[in-house]
Amino acid sequence: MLLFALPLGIVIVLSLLTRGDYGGAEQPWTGEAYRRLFDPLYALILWRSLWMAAVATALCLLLGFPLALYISRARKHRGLLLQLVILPFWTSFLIRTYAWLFLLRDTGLINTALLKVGAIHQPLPLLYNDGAVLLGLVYGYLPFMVLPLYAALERIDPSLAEAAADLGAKPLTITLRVIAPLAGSGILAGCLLVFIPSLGAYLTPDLMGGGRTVMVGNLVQNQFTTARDWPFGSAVALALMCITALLLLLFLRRAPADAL
Amino acid sequence: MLELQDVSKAFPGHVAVQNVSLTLQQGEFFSLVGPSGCGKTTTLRMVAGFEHPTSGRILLNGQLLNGRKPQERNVSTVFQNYALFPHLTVSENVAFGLRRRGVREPGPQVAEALRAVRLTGKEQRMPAELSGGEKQRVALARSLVLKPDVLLLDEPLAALDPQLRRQVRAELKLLQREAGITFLFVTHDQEEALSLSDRIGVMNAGKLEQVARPEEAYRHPASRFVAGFLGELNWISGAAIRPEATRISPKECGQSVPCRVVHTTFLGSAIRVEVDCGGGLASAELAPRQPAFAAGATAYLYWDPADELCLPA
Repeated sequence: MLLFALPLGIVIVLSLLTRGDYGGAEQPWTGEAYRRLFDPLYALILWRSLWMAAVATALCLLLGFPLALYISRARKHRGLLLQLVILPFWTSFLIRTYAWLFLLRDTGLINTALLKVGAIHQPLPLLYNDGAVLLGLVYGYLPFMVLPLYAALERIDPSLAEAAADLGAKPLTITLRVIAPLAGSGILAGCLLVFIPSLGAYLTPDLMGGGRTVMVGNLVQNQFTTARDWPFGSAVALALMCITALLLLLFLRRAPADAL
Repeated sequence: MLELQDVSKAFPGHVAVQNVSLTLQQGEFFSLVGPSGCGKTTTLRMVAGFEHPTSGRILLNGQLLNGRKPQERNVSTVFQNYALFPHLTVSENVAFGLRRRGVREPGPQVAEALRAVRLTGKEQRMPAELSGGEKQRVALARSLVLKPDVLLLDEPLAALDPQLRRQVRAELKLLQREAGITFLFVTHDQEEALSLSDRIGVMNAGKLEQVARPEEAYRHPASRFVAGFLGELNWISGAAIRPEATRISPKECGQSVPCRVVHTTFLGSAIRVEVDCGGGLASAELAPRQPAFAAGATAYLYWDPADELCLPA
């Protein structure tokens, strides 16, 4: 509890102080940092972050649902398939993000190969844009979607899908009308587990967005490093935390008790 | 009319169903009965379209069903665990199939089906709020409302408690007569099969051993397996006799076999006497008024030779 409360307390105190010339924070107490949060520039960054996190979550759900459904229905090798989903966690996220850079940059594997076979004449802009950041987010957080979905789907009695087919439902109808409603708790859990870290992500937008795609996570990081404005960085971090908590509350109030 | 022609189903490592041929008449109540693992459920699932035969043909009203998906067959299944959609109300469960067939206003048909299974008033309940017997009736209504050519029932009474089972059995038979729909009923309970069916098919190790009317199969079993599966058997000096056809007397009389009384059990409608006739146990049934036999007493078994079962080895 102390480990959780102490850093949080420090951040709250920092956010109420004045910035020091070389970083850190000094007296006097002020609410200046919070006032700056309402600057349209920062509101825009926050809005962008919410939007990117929402799109990343939707893409994860779109990709993760069929994958989780496939694994839950697999007659053999279910354990192996799950292991493969978790496999990327065995390597550091930083290293895996660098691997994407090697693949996607102008002199990377994909562009080099396409240039060689003559499919393109100049490198495709695969990196340093919103698309690249989304790719990074989806790649990084897809397992967090697949695992709770799998857990929910695996609990669904297979005879329900058979009964639906027997009554004349086509595969898509079975998925939408029977499987998805029964996997509701898993869908909710997966979406939260992807949305929350996506909203606060800074490594992926930093490396794959090339600094051009600023999300809230980068803003916080910049304030503590290059901008040396610790109080404002703290205020942004706290604002992000409050928004996340608010969204979580909203979601959980509508969700059944067994959602998480 | 449902026809199975020389149908086999092999799974990796074992053959579940072997050369089963069978014809069900329109409106017939037909039971496939046998021990677990005999292939009866696999046979049912092939008719439903959940499994596909390795060889052989399945025809419904002269049309080949092989290769058709479950959605494309006018048969419907009542599952052992009922498989009701837990997130839908009773009436939405019953309307599910109608909606898939494009019925815009399923209300009247749903109401009619629920009336037939005596569930009027429970339309808005969720499956979790129903008793076992009610769930079973919803599953029946959900299938019957589609007016299938054949209704497939996979051990639909197994999940009910024994008292309820007897009552539901009678209702099921009545419902089948009224609806006039062909029932293909799968069960491991020989009493259930004998009491419900117009005809039964006894399966063992993937093969259909006998197809006959219940009395016929009971009195003239085609094999030792069928004889033993459908009822108890006494083996007395080389002859096979049902316990209820075996008489017991304290005195020797004509062609009788001496034995020693081991145990008597009062069954309510009869008294059962277990005896040891030097080499094997046998049992005989007595009317309850007859004097009881004491354990250890000597007695004599006799029977009408016409009651001996004629069994191929």
